[in-house]
Amino acid sequence: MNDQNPRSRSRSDDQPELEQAGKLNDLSPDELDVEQKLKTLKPVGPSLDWDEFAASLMDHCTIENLPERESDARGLLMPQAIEVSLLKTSQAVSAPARSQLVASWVGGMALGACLMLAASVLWNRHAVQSADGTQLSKNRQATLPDRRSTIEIEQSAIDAVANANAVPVAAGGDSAAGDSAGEPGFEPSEQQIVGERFVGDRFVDDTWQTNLLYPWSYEATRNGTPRLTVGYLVTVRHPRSHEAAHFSVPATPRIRAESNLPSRSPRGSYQLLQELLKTGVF
Amino acid sequence: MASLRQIYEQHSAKLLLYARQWCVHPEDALQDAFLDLIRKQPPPDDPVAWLFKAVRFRAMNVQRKESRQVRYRAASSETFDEPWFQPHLDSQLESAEVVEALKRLTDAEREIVVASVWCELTFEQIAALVGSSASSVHRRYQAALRQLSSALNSPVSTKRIAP
Repeated sequence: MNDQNPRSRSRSDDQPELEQAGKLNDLSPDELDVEQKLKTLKPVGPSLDWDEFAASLMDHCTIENLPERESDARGLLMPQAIEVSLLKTSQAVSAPARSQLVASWVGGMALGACLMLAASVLWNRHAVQSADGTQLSKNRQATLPDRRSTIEIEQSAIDAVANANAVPVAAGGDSAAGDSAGEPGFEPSEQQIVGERFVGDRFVDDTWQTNLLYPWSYEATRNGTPRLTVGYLVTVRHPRSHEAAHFSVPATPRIRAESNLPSRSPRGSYQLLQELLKTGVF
Repeated sequence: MASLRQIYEQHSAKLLLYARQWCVHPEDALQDAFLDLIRKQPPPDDPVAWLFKAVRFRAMNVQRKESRQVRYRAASSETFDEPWFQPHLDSQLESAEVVEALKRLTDAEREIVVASVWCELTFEQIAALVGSSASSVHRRYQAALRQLSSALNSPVSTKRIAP
């Protein structure tokens, strides 16, 4: 690295301009001394190696798989603006599992005006097949007054995720991304099950509008018992056309780091989910 | 052209330090910048220089998000201060003191020092990033080094080195 020290090049390259500006390109002994001392410090590297980082990039890129007919919604779904997760308590499968969906804002620019999309909070007491066959099902959706779009988790996807036996393995994510919510035959694809997060079992309802990254970690810290959730199918309905777009929730490097779990590709995340379901975490 | 992997492995630490000036979660900015690079069509001629510009922009965006989270951070008394530099026994400076000294510089001076010393960018590249001339960047660099020299060469700031 130092063999091709651009700093050395820079001085010679800049020399004409600097001389023209009446400045010498030399540093005083004191300046050189401190510069050399500073160079002995090495920046902290990333927490993810390349494979992990590449997997995180791939998670984001799955959003690009939305079909053309969802173009309106897709235009509003900038990856960096989306932070949505289905929060699940770590109850055993045999008990009623309460899920909490927190949706965040989705920002978009249209005709020079900034369209801020709010989101909704959906509490789901979804169907869970218990060990003795009892099925409990209840849906409850709470929406905020200023919401302009509805982001909701499809019940079918929740049920599929909650029940290991119901999670089908479908190659690729395009087909699922194009299906409408609740349509017969809708199945989550493995590409749509990505990411790992530690989350709290309760969400602070006045924090969702700003950014969900911090409240997640905050809740995990405050409760002292971090919860694990896995990326889920999320359906975003366009505020005007009500078209549905399905996408996965990508995990940022920090979330991955905080999860204390190895970063996983979508396939790896799916396998992780299967393992968790088998162990009764959900 | 270098592969993404090569760029990541060779420059991610520099890019993270560069982003760390603005935000406490620089890896998010780095990820966003790489996503931008992947989607960039046609790809930039100099992807590394382009990444620095993208990271700068993204880090400022992350900073704005983080500023909205201050109240939550205070509520949980949780801090996200991460070290800027690796612990290095042979270094003649304490990294924490260097960071403190850097933080006392102006934003522009700190950016130039970080970009020049650790990111190893040329003055012209830095000038393109900050929207200034190379000569102006050099002048600020010299001024910043003088301030750092003054701050770090005081007896209490200089790390003792075993003989």
